[in-house]
Amino acid sequence: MSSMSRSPRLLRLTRQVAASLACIAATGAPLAARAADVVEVIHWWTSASETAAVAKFKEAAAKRGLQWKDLAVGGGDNQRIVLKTRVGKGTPPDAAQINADVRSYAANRDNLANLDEVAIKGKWDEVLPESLRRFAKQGGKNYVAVPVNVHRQNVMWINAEALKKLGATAAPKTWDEFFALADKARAAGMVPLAMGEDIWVNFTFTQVAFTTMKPDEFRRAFYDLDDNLLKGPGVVKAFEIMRKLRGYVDRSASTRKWNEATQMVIQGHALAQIMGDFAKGEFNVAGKKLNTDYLCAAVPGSGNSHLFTSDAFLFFKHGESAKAQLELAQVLMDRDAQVAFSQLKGSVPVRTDADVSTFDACARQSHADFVAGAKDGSAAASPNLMQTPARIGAWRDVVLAFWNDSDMTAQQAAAKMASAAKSS
Amino acid sequence: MDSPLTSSTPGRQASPHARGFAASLERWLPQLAISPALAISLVFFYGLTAWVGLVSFTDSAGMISWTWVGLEQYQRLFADDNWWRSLWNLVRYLPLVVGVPLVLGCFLAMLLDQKVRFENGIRTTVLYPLALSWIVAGTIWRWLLSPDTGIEKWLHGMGFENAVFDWIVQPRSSIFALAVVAIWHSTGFVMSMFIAGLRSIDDSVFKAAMIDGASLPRVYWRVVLPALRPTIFSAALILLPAALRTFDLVVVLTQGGPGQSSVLPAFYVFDRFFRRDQMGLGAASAVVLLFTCAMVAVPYILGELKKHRAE
Repeated sequence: MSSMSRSPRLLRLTRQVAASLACIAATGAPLAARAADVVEVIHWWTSASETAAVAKFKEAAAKRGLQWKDLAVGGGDNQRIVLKTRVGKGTPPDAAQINADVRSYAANRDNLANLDEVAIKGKWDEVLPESLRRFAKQGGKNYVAVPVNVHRQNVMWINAEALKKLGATAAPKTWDEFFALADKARAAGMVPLAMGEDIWVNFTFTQVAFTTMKPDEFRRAFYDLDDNLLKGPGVVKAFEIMRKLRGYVDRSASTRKWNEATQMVIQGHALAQIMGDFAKGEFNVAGKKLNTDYLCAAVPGSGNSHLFTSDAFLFFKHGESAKAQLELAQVLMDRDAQVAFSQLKGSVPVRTDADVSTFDACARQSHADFVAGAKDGSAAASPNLMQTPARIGAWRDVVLAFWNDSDMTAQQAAAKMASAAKSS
Repeated sequence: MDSPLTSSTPGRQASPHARGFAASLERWLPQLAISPALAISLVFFYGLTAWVGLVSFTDSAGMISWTWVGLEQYQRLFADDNWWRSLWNLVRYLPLVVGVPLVLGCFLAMLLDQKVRFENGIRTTVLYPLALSWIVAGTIWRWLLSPDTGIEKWLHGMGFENAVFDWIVQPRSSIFALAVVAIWHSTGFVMSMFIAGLRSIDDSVFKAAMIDGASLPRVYWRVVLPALRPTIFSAALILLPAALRTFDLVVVLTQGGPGQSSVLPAFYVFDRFFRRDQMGLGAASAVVLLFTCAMVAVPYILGELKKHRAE
């Protein structure tokens, strides 16, 4: 229908008539049959841009005759509690947005809808990279979650003007380059690295570890808990870099929200920040232009490797709405819907065959690295998607203990990472 | 305080000829009226407390499960350094946020009681923190306490270049930064309780003491303060549980950080139960916290009640 209405050869009037006829033909009949196809979807996308992004999925669902019953709960923590309560009561919604909790819900697969039919039909295995399939299947054969987008995490945001002032022309490619630049920045009176509160210290550690370990080692250490790798040279090196980074962070970092830290880069008080691609929204709101006012580069030392987090949906088993749920799963994996959604959300589509030519350069780079990484294994999912929150929390405690205690050595910290993996 | 309760009984006895139905209705009405509240508190307070207690004996992680594991969660809890840290933080935090508002609130109330000008204005200002939501107050305080935006920066601007006020970013002192905000929050409330208490003391007591030649501080110390005993009791009884379950303050100010340095037990409960998917462990810590509260509160209440009866 859309290709028809776009066709330039048809007269305008004919086009409209044809389009509306096609519309009726496409949706009229199913509409009558599926008048009661309501799917209840719970999610935490409530900000202006997020609401607009979700609307794209709603539109796509409406085209398939699905009525999207919205249950938007502001705040990830709140949404998790609501969802947990609903599941506990035995009245789960049809679909639920999820990212780190997949594991605990996937522990009981009998509660989840079987998506095999549409997954095979839609050839999900072919369009999703291995690292994402692993997240979406959680160790089993079937899909338990439907991923819709990818947020790159290993991004360094740099104030372009400050960079020029320091005599550099491009973003630092290695940690040594970064530290050299950071020394200059400090001499020039800037904070070299803008850091936010504790969770972002831990976030930074993950990004650093992704540069000091090969992607495969990273996966074996943080997904499979390989003991030798967890206390091995890669993690030790990551802690050593963290200790150095600590020297380039100002004292007030732990009182700051991540967006307050981004503001420091925007205003030129700080040279750089390590933050996920969602920080772009802050630059956009401040009216800054990519590549002229700020740079969006991969974290030093990571080359084109891609570390990501992903938003996904779980489908709970419901006798009566099983068919509608399968429809919705197809909507969420729909290529065009994913593109429209991500463009507004500031992420990139999870499908490797999506067309991102209309996205900005930063997002195009992210998608290109993601697709390339899907082939050569240099793309990895954040450990948060693969581990229990308990273990992630235990690791975070170690990272923060190291960060706040200058007497702890990198070796001691790495050994604690390994023991935390065992005890949690 | 006892008078309104006791005065109602003679009234009822005065109508012996009332019909049976009305009399029984009159007798049952209070019970009926109170029963929904009673039922609700039974279910939602004691029922859920029991439920949490049960969960603490299970292996619940991300979801509630009813696989019995005995005391395993308690063993894990007391093997957890972070839990000990939170208890140690509570030990340092509790006396400060109960004691300082009591002393300070009492002192301010006595000052205001001297018939000062603008008494209303001052009272409103000191009481104002109560009207602010924790989210707003917490964000403002986070900025005030932060070295690069708050008090320290202001002191530098005033010319005190070497001034340091960075409690909130120092793992050793971050708990005291929390205490400062908690004291700021409750002092005004305690003060207004004391003002009410002071106003209820008859002027003649003052006059009698003055005639006997007692100085003003002595009157307050020896006469007024003992008379304020019930006020101190109620203020402490409000401050103590509030301090024990301090949670929102931690969330808005530090999230328990830097590291685990400002984690308090109630925050620990929430963090394990909801964020870290360790529901069994979170429930166990909640039970321990409940017993801690009971250990502090029950002897105190019993002791005070006994004194009242004796008087």
